[in-house]
Amino acid sequence: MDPRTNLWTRQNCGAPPGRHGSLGLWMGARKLITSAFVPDRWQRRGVLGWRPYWLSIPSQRPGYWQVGPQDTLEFEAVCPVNLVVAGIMQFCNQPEGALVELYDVENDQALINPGGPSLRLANLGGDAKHPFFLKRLHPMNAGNSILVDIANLSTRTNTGQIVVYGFTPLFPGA
Amino acid sequence: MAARKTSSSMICPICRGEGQNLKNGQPCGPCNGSGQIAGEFPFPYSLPINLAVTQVAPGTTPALVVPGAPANVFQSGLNPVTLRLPTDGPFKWVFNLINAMSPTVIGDASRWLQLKLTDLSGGEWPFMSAPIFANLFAGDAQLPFPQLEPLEFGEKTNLQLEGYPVNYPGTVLEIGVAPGAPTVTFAGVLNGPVLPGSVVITDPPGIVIGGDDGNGAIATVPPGAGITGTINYTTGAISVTYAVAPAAGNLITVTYTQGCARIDAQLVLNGFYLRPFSEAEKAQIAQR
Repeated sequence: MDPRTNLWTRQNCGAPPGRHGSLGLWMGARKLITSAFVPDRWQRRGVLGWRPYWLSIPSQRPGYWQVGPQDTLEFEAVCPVNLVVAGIMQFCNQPEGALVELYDVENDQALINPGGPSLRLANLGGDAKHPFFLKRLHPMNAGNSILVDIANLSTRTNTGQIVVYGFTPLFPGA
Repeated sequence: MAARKTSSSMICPICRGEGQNLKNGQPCGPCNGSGQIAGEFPFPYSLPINLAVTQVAPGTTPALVVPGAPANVFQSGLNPVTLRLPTDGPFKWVFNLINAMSPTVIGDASRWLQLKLTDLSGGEWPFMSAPIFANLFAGDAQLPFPQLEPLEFGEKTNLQLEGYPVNYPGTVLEIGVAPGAPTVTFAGVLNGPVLPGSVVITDPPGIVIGGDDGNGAIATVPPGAGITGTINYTTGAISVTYAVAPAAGNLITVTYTQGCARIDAQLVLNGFYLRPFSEAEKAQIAQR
């Protein structure tokens, strides 16, 4: 890895600053495509040069879950690398969607209010065209488990996937 | 104070090598206060990768038919093909585009395709723990995925891109309740696209009486004079005709797999190629 190739460290190569220079995003003249917060450039300096990583939930092949009509499914997803989470994306193939509960096993902490109404999957994240970025980077250690509960709201089999987007050091588990 | 000049760098044309803004004394922005800038020019570069996936039947390994494929068409399924970036220079890539090109695909091809990217340079390094849906990985030119820290590859990077078609099996539609004679034809619209060879017709539920032949025709299983019909795999329109009217009250049910028989898509890796300044460009910058 040659640091000279990192354009982001080179003050825009002398070109006029982008429209979102304060965020440090390389986005041309378009406005932000997400209404969510984005970690600022100072937070992201900590992960400068790290590689992007997509953690699939479920974390093993085939990488997606299938839940029967109005059925529920519980499984654990293990993070195989040290990961700094920046955003969340989700997809399911039935328009009715699904309800989701997430639980951080290592920290023994519910990530979604367990006593109240469950979170609709569409409210958990976006997709590549409309990603949902967190306001702050969230660290996840290698081996961390996330317990996932999915409740299918459709009367047909629902197939879906949750993807956590973030950064990891150059070597897995480092 | 100006930094040591190297063969790959040149004097910053803004601060003239002083390393600081001549007006306010602050460190020079373009050269970061070093007085030197790298003698390379970020040249926009896009590498299209065409995907062609053909499935023959549900539940089987996807058969791959890529006639006359150019060098950058990769096979999917269980036979990933390694891509080698066609350049010797260091690259910085931003993934931001995937397009569906085939008229045989209904809707967005990215719903029917999973991708997994691995860097094989210097040991296998996956970018994702499992294949992820293409619509969670890449946007398009109008709505690109804004990488906060783009992928960065050095010289002669070997990338492996795997593609897996996604099917939704076990989809069920009831196309009618037999009223007895004389009605012998039932019709309905399945949620297309329908994977050829996956249609099973039961009457009453649980007793298989027929299915499709993979070419758009409905026939009795085993072949006989029971039912005939047609199915449009793209729109999902299905028509089933009985030679003899089924018993009154029988529920005619179609079970099928949603999926594309063929997925044609294109993944574009947009990025920058760091091209060294030519001598003419260096002279032009020096004259500014």
